[in-house]
Amino acid sequence: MQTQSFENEPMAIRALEKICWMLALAGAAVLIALALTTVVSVLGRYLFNSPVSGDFEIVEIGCAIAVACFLPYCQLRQGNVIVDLFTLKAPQAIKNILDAIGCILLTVMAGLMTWRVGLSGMDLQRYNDQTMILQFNTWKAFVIIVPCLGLLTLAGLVTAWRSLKGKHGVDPHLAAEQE
Amino acid sequence: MSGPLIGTLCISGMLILMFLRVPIAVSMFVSGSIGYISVAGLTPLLGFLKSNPYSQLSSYSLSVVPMFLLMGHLATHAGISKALFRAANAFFGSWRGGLSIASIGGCAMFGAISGSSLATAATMGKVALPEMKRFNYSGALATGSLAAGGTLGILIPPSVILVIYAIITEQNVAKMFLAAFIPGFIAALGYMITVSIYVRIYPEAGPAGDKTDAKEKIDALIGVIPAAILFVVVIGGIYAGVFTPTEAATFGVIGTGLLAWWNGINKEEMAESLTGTAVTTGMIYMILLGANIFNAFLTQTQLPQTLAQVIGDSGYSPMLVLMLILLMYLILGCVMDSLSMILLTIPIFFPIIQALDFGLGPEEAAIWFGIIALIVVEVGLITPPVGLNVFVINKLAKDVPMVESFKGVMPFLISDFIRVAILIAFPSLTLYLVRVLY
Repeated sequence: MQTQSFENEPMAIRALEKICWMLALAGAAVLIALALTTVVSVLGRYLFNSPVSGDFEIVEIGCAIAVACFLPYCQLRQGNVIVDLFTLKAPQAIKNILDAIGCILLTVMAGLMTWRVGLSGMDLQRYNDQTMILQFNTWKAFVIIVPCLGLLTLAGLVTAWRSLKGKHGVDPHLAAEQE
Repeated sequence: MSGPLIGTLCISGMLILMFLRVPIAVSMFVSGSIGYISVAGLTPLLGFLKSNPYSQLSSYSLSVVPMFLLMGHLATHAGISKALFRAANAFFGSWRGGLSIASIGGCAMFGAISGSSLATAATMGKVALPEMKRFNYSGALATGSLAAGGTLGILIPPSVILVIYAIITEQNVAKMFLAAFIPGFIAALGYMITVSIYVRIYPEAGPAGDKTDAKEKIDALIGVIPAAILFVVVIGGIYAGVFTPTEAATFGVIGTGLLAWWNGINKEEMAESLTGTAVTTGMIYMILLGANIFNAFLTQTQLPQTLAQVIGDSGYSPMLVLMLILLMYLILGCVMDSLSMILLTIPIFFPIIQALDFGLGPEEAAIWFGIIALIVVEVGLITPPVGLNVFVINKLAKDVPMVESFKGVMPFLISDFIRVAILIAFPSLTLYLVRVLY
């Protein structure tokens, strides 16, 4: 865990860090649950001719939720790859400013997505959009996804602030090591 | 302004943002959005942003990506790499340069479970480097063979990048995986031959290791069985059409998870696997989201179609065009990561490839080009200045200077180029299994 180096940060940021970490774990737990469901469904299909009905829909919705849960944590760990070849020799202060600008642009991207996807979720609720087989109300997934995008927006701001102060989540090569 | 001109301007803008340390995903998103507005207007962009992110996150064909990533992250803690290296070492260890050959063999086998080069290099490096140090291997050979061996991770299925290539070009993932098989095998063989030649020129670089008796060979082979079963179920299941790739990957996740649990994975390692999956999955989906909007914009400018038509009508020899594309990949590969490169360039290059006549059908050309492009893109992982595999291995081998590692990689680069030439000259090597089995 890289959190140790951020111990002196304001309470709010530490709370955000913790929430995003827990969300990441929760997202992974969702993935594992999806994996189990699919395995049961495939075994059911071949052995007993009775797959879990709507297993594709479960995977689609679950996967969307899991990935959304990963996004804020990924940004807090500076997991979004950058090209650093052309700025290797630049002074640290310049790099910090450029990194902060990058994070701000990411904040804009995340903010736009939060807004638009949020609206889309509201539309789906109004039209009572349902999945084909399970008749699951799609908007319910948005209740989790949209706040995750909101957290991504916040994470963008936090990383911008950290970059300005010269604190880096991790070095980009280390982040890529996990690829 | 004409569409293609706006397209060109926005591509340049995107590259500038990227070179100024803006995350690649964000560079694509920002320049793509601005382009989209100038071509189609603000309202269509806002409409696109409303529906596209969710359809991307909830895409069934993409759901295989987080599953494979989770499987790979669990595999790094499942004790698999140790067993694989031990088995390869039991057979090759007593040869000259045997530990390097065994590492490459181990990487190839680990690559059959993990879809990532860096993870393959790092996991195998942790097991193999201490052994190589014990036998006084030169830093160049030790780190070079592991960094190169790591690139087998992405080539040998499962491979995240091949999945994504198959999705953008609307190809069958099973066929792509099948096509990667022989090139992956040739790659591993080529690297092993490279080591053998290297230690004949520099005998002190890689002395022979311990001899092993028949009992150790059998024990070591037994240790590989779980990994072999995983591979047969996951990849074999996809080849045989028993499951969709996502279904296969879920079996892989559960299997690797059980194996990790059996080998006593602890709480920290488990958390590390899960959060590691979160970071890499998040990164890949962010790039996908950015690339999506960029490509939606590019399509509207007609730039890719125009370019394909111009080049198709120009009468340039198809091979020349292919060489130029590959050369561009080599150069870009020194700067960018492979996934972003594929996502950015395939929408532009793929129509060109399809417009040219290589004496193959459109589907065969697509598969063949995908494999060759993947190999060339991956070469960037072991070339200076930002060969990530080399960095990762070099970090593990603390006492080896960076320059040594890059020197050690050079012979393997030569082997890469020879392999690419062979695969270009004989498309049937790549297509053989696909032709036979479909």
